[in-house]
Amino acid sequence: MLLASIALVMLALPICGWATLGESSVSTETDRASMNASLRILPASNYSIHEIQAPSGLTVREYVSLSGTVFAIGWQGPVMPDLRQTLGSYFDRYTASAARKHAGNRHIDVRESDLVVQSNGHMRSFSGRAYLPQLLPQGVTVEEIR
Amino acid sequence: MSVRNVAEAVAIGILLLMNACGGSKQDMSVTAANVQPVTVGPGPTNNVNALFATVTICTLGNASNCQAIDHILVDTGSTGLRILSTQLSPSLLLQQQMDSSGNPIVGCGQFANGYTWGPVKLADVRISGELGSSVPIQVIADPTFPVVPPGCSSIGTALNTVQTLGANGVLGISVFQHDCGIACAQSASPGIYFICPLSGCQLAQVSLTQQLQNPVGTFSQDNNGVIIALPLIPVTGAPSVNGSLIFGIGTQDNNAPGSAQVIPVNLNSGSFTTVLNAVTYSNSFIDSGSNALFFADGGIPLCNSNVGFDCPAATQDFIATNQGTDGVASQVRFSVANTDSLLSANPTSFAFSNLAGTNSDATSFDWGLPFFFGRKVFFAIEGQNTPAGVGPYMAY
Repeated sequence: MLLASIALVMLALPICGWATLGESSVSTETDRASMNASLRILPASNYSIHEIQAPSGLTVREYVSLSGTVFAIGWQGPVMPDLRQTLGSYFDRYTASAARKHAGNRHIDVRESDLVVQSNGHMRSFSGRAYLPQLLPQGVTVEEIR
Repeated sequence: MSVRNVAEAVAIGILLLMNACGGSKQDMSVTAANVQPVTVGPGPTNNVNALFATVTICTLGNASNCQAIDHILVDTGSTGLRILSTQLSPSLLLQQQMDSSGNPIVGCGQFANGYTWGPVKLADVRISGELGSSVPIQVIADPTFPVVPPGCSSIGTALNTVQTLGANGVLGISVFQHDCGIACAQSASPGIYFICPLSGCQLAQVSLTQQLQNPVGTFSQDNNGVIIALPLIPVTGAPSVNGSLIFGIGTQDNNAPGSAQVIPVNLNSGSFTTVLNAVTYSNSFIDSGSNALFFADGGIPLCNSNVGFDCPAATQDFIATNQGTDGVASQVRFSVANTDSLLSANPTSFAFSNLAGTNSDATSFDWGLPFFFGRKVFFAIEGQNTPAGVGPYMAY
């Protein structure tokens, strides 16, 4: 619903790529290239979405603030994303928290004051999101991250 | 204990009168050869709403060298049998699956909460009276392959111990026959299969027959799907629940689909559509491996203690509509209780039919284990014929 109202600016942009939560959206072309993925950038009112489509069918959306910081990640597809890359320095906290609070559970809902990671789904159909609550631009709702 | 056995639902099974044994005080009703008892109970890690079965693993072609492994999680949300190496006797000498060049094939099982890393090995798999011969299974955390490649470990948490897995293994009996399918046969890009020569592991394409299989599809009979039958339980939960995992659909007297509502599912994702309060969840599924009903409903307050679970002031009743890919819609009733107060008021209960939680995917309704209580739920494997149609479908 959100994306339907957003103009598509560029398709298969040959620059930029996989960025990391909490860091700048400065490109990591090697990552994008290694995934053989395509990228498009979708501007929203007070942020932009860098949408990466991998050959596996996985879609990863990076939500970039006007100042260039990745404040959220969303994913959907038949396989899980590379969360170490997309969560960056938050990955170890995520796995530690998930293992501690959700041992044996299929459904991950890590909520800390400065980090939220939610992972759902089953084999062949996964989805989830991660965001930094303190970096959400004003007026952005969590529901927009998908 | 107030728990009732589901036997009446499945005990079309044979009554064996073993008079010759004389003196046995046991109930002589014996379940049929296609019925595996299953339980919901605390399990090895005291989780709520975890469904377990015992699975027997045998050396290829050697019915006398077997090991029964209990507390295997029954999971309709994944495909393939995966067992922790720590639970397997080395004397089983399971055969390593090799590619055409003689390289060992190692798998990266993907779950929403993490990964299972370990080699694909061949075993004869016995569940109830059924036998699957030379079935590719995964041995999780096998010390032969200790280094997890970044392409696998980057998914999340390692599910490599009883504590992290919440079970001794996973019995994946979804509507699919292979864990990955054609995507991994055509490309290495899904990141689910690797070959691991001594020089190190690398991503690999793996043929359908060498991938992890739904063990049910490898049985010599009763191989077109399964039924999970669990009894109704009180709204206050139950300490443990006994049910049945029945193999085959319409292959025996005890597994006819009858008038069950059939929900054909998406051929790629296994999903169907749920509608609740005019909200459409187009990517919904029925998953015995999820311990609650997970769906996004902004109107239900969340819990303070059990993060991510629902805590309405009073139990709420809902009517949802499920619609398969054939467009046929049918209603499902369910209840959502206050998880915090329910769990604290019933400390000895491990089975609950009214647990729900939130879901960050607004397009997905995850019908977890609470959905199964009081139902017989059918899972027909892709491409398989049944009296109620060709799989993949779910029915109840």
